[in-house]
Amino acid sequence: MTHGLLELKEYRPLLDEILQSGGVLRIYPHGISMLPFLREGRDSVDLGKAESIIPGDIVLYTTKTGKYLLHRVLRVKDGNLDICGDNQCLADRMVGVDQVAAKVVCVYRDDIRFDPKTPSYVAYVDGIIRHPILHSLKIFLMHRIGLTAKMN
Amino acid sequence: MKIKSDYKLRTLAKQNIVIATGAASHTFNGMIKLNETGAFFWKSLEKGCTTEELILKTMETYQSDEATVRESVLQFIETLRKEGVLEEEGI
Repeated sequence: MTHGLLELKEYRPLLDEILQSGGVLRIYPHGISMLPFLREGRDSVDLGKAESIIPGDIVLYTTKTGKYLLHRVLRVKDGNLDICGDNQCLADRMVGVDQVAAKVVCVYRDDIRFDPKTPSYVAYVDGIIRHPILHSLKIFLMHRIGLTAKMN
Repeated sequence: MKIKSDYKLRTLAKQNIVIATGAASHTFNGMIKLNETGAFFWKSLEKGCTTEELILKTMETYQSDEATVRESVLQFIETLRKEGVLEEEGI
């Protein structure tokens, strides 16, 4: 019996079954696209069924090339989503809701649980979705001066 | 002794994987991979059996000696108990 790291793409049927049963699946995101909010090796998230999606939600979705990404929804319009990593300047636009596999229902930082209603979480998310252009500009400038590496 | 109904064994890409569904998924994080023998234990426990029944069934199926089988079965059951996967009515 082993506990192992799994590729979501391969295990999508199992993820769907868990979510359909009303369950959640804990995953450990990797990469830097959601810094400083999600840090590889420190944070994990519970994925739940994406019954409703509003700006600020973090969703697991598939790109048109079939890649799975865990990024934040910036805008919802006409059934399509603009989605962007917190550490990215350019959003993935016109993502269909059918491309969304799940959404983050809570975040664990060093095993302390935060749900999306936590005041500090709400304040952080508000700063991004109310001023997406300002946020993009900030990230762009941070990348230009090489701050991303320090955030790692 | 039986596997709780919220836990399911699935086979994907020739791998045996246990997932927690519904309420159980809120306390059980992730998935468990089982080898062939583990899957055999699991399927037997899904139907419900005692430790002794499982040992006998395994000895018959794998033609192994009792000591080896007993050790594997007890270890497997202990792991499931720790994970809270077993329903043990009447014990």
